[in-house]
Amino acid sequence: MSEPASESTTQRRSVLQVTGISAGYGSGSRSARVLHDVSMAIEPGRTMGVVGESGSGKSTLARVLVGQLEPLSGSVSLGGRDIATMNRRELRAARRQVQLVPQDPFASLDPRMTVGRALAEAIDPRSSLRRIDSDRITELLETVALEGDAAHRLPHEFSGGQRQRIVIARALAVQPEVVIADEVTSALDSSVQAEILDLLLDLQRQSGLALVFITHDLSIARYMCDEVSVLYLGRMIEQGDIGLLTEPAHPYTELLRASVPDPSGRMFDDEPPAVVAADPGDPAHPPTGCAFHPRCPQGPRVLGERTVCVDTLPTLVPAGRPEQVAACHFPLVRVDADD
Amino acid sequence: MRRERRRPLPAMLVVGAVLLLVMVVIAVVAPIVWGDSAQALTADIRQTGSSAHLLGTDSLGRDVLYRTLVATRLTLIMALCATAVAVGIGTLLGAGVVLAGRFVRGVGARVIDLLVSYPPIIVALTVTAIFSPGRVSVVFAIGLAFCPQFARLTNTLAASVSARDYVVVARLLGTGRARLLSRHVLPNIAAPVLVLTSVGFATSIVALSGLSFLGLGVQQPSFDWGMLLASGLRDLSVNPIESLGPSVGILLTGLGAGLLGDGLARYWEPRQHALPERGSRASARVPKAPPVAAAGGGDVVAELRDLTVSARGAELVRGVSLDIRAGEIVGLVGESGSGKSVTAMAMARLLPAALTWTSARHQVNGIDLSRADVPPPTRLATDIGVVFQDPASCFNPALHVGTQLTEVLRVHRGVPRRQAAELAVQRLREVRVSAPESRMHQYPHELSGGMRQRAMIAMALLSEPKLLIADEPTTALDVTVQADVLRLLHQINADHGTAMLLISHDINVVSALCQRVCVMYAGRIVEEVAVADLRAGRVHHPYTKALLAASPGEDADRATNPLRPLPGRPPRPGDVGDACSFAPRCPLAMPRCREEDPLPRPTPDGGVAACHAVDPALVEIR
Repeated sequence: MSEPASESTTQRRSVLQVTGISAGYGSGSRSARVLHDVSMAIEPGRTMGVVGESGSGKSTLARVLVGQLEPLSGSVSLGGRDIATMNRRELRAARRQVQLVPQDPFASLDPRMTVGRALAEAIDPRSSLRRIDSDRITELLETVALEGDAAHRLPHEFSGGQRQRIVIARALAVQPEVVIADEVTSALDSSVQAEILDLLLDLQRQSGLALVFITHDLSIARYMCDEVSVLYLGRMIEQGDIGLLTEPAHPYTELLRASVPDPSGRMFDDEPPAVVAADPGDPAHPPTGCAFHPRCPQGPRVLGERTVCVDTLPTLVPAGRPEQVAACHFPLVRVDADD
Repeated sequence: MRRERRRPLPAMLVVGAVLLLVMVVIAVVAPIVWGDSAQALTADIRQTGSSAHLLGTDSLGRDVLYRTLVATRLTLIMALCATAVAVGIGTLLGAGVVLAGRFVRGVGARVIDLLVSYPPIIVALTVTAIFSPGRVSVVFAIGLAFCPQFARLTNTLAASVSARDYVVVARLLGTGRARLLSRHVLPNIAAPVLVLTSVGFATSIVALSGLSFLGLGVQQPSFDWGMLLASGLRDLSVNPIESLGPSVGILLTGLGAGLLGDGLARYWEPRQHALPERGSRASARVPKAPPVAAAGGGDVVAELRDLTVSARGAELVRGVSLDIRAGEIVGLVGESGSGKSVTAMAMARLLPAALTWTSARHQVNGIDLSRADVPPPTRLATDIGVVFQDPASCFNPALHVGTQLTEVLRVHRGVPRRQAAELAVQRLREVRVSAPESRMHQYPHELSGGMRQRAMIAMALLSEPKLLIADEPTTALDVTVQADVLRLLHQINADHGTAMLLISHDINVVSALCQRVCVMYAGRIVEEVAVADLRAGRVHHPYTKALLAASPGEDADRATNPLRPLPGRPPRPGDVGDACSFAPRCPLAMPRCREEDPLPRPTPDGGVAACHAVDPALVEIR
């Protein structure tokens, strides 16, 4: 399952790569595996989008990517080296190369720590924060277009957008190679959202940062990303360059595409079959076969003869455009037979 | 960092601190000044209060007042030490366990639970029984007895703090465990720990006194309040006033400690949300709005004129006029704090009591709602349906869905239970809730988010309202569920002609569903536009233009057609003067904009915009 993804990326240099990882929570009889066999490679200067709804496992994936959660199986490579082969010191240094910008800027800054101290901690977490390198902090704040005097203030004195800038500055303080942006604009107003997206794109242009951009909003994914991975109930169901969002091969991606509120009002013209509104189910106990089959507008609930969807788990196979893979028995765009 | 934050000290902090300060002064001074008098044996045995001995004398003729004052020092020192032992060991145990590995975390929490289940006084008695009675062993006994409580509290608090994003990020940055504890965890749990510390201090005074009273604590010839209390109680029938001194001492110290702790906790918490400033008089006179745009066509279901809503003197809504006609879906779009939800809730007369409001005219389906002092008739409940953002918090988790669905019919329409249930099932089926009969007997948490929102819509529609107000009905939902709910609202409008007011921050959602869109900024409708014009980009107010330019639409492209962020922030309620509220952020701002608030005026496309830059000449040409 991981082959197509890794094959296509081995030629290019990836800074962060996960291969066939599974992850979950809890232990013993109460354990729940919510991410199954996911592979992706993140390259410098490019943005990988991760798209999915609640329960799709995108936040769990983010936790694995930043090293907050140990995967149950599969491998994680940083800078081309499997982290399993690294010793503690190497691992600590390698981990710092991957930084997280969490969703809620109101929760991700310590309310009692001035912005300057928060940045100082990021620059050197082992320092006592007594002596602060104010030049570097001013420089960081300028990178995210904040005034230098912001360093002396507490987080509650800033607006949501400004806080998110501070969080980004903190992530940049360690000069990471990869930034995982987990729904970074979903708590912000739309006018502010554009500002944060712009900032991330600017930073990427300047420093060749690799971005993993996790979002539920397809229009933002389309705007930000070069490649995209679509998750459904913990499995990768489609992956490829960003164009797949306009020409999806997987019916679920197509459903996502058609669900974006369309200002033209055309979304009310043709009603999808009622099955799509069914409950996706529990990520820990997904439906058999293709996890999407109970909701699929092309699936067994609509076309009764497609029993294979209920019985067999589809694997990621080439579909549609070059380097696009989809896990569907009946993809919407088929590759030619001789391909 | 040195930026001064001058905040008034809470009164309880001052009172508590003064009380404790008095006690500390007594503790320092009394043994020096009255040390000898307290020990002096006299012949006046067991005398009641007199001018010579205000609180009388004890069985050996010693002055009780002096003894009480002198005992303050020992009592306070012992209580302080015991509290320090309890807080120190407890906090380190509780918070340290959280930062340890998963195994230690699990086992530690269980061990703490186990320790908490032992009554502290039994633990204290056991410890003093093992060691010989005396002041040191009693201090440790009390300290150890109370430390599980602190461990439990800090364990719970630290677990919740260490799951917060800022601790997670600090961990990812490579901050070590000790630093995580001292830098992020402890400061952020300090407030509740302080409160418990002060309570613990008061409790340990009582517990120490109790042990001394039993003879396990302080031994002769030293004495503390507990011991004085013991001898006072022995003589209670002969000389009741003798026990007054130590009792008042214990009471005042405990009270002082409690007040100080509460006050500190309140002072410690940095302000999270700045409330609108009180009494800012900057609110501009509301310009008399001209008739609402796009007049004509259809009966007006809801009418609102010159609505103003204020909170503590700051105007959240500044003169909003809005008409909704039968069968029409009107969108109200704006950023957080623009006043859109407040306007919608005012329309339904559902504003919280803390807000004051006035309107020149306010009617829904012929009911006059313009007088704030007259409660809305109960009929209103059946004329307006409301759908809220978070269906999870709008259903009572303890009641069946069916009970809540049928309430409006049973209470306001007097429909019999069975018939109401039939109607509810029918409505649920209409909003495409699967297996509606069995849903009626389920609890809200048994429904998925999308199902709950459908059930909420079904509930709002049960009384066949003329107007449905939906406040961000899809914001909490996944994209596919959002599309589904939008389709449903569209369908209800098409089938029943229900007029709707849709509130959203997402201009794409609004332009997908609505026929007319009102854009709110800083408590005022700045533009009203037909949806066809909005979709085509024929908008006139610079704020509407900025909103469109900042929203990622289909044609947005980061290389060729990038989003254009809108710099600056909206003004805070109450900070709007006589100028145009958007002027500070407006690319077209002229000197006039900073002097005069623009009146809403017709635009060339038949809408209304409140902007000086909308050229009246253009309108006349048409």
